[in-house]
Amino acid sequence: MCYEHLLTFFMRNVFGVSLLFGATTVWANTPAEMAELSLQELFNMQIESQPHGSEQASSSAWSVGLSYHQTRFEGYQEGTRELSNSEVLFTGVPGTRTDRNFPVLPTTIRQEALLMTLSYAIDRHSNIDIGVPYIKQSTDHISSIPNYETFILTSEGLGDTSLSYSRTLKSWRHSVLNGMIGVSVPTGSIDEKGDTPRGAGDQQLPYTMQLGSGTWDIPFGLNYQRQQAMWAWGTQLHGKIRLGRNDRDYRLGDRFVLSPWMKLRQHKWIQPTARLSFQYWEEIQGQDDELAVPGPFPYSANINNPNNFGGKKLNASIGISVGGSHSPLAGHKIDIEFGKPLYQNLNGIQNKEDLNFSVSWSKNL
Amino acid sequence: MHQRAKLLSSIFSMIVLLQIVACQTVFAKNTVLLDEYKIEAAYLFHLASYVHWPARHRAGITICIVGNDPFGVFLDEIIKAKPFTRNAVPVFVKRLAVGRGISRCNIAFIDIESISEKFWNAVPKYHSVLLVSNSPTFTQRDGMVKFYSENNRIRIEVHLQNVKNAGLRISSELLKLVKLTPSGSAKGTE
Repeated sequence: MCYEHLLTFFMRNVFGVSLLFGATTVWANTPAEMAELSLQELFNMQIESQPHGSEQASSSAWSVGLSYHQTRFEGYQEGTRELSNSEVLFTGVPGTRTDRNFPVLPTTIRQEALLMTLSYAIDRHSNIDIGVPYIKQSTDHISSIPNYETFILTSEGLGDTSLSYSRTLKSWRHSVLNGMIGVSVPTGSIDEKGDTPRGAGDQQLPYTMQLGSGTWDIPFGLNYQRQQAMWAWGTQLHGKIRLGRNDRDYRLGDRFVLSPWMKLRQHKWIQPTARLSFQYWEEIQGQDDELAVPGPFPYSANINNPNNFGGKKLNASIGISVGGSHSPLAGHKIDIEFGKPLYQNLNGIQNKEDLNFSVSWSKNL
Repeated sequence: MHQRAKLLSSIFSMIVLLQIVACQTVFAKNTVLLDEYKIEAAYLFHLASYVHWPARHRAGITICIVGNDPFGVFLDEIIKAKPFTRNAVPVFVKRLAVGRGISRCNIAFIDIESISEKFWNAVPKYHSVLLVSNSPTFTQRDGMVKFYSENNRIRIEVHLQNVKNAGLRISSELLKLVKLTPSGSAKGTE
């Protein structure tokens, strides 16, 4: 409580100069402070949070952001049925090789992405964003192939760069509908190689280990958000449409995500969040021929088969949002989110998602 | 069956975690509202001091929030911090569903989202209730005080004829600051 008073005192004195020019923002935040204001003072007060949806009035057209995302896949699933590693690993003895077992088994896949974003507000209703990801991936394997009983494959580098334009489509007193459309430029490599048991030396790595899609893609989104006294909530529909095929003659599946969320706004600048996201994504179209081997069973690992991609997934996340106009962090905003799948229905035999985590920072310049 | 139990267990765990996070950050006295709501809540409190009701109402001023409550506990906390008008009359807050009678209220605030015929039908004639809203069309009906935003500030518009029809008077101090609804007149001032 003392801290709150000190903070208020500091803000009033440091920013008090703005009072001289009549640009009174609502530094009186507590009910007691508001009760003490005169009618004239109330009339002079500026609304700091914009009426239709945006969290914070910005002082500059430019903002920057940095976010870190990690997703871990562990264990196997076919449709909604969980499979043990021993059901998927072909050991030769005493089992029979089929389309549903493999001599190489990825056990844990970790995907990390550091996304740098730069945003420019053209006007109060529209923005242009550029996002450049740096991706780092590693996969732990076990296999029944001599000298490759356990091994780890890694890849890292720049991913696909996205350029997007977003605009307020409609706004009401307490809510706003934004639309976004963009283009994803194939700057991420699809030629990552590593030492796999498929042959001597380095070979083309599976689809999951590549850094980009290799195609020009169209990201899009619709975002409705609404602010109420104690809650903010909204729904996002976003996705990515893949165009054509890449140089390796395949195309990653289109992806669609519907994501309702809510934020508890009871505290000034620390606000818990919760999100559900339902994802639908398609299998890979076409095939990278370097990932197949001759013979009746062309795929040495499930992740080399383009049909073992896509499915439906429901994730739940909780997190915390720190910052905003009332924060002592002076314009910085930090969001932390931790998520776990509640339901997965996967095409073919796939590594199932175990958890995901993200932390992001943004600042208006 | 195992899948279903696991799903339910995951949902339950997420709810428990959310509750924990929520509980850690709830500090009732520092509730955050959109600034517009804070200002509107403070205006509502001030209206109790700048509007004159017939003598029988002077034992206490009741502010009713009809339907959707955009203020949460903020308005209650204002009144807890300052429980009396400038004339030492106690102020109370009450919540009512849309369509319930408002004749026991002195000020009835209705949020833009709760405005409906059901509300207007529940407004009695010659009721001595100051009708307040943030709806842009409020003063085109029998509404008396409207909050609206202009130049990033919350302003007040008053329909004086409607105020007078309800048997109320508005202080000249307040009238100096407000915009009058064009069809209104100065008859309702003191």
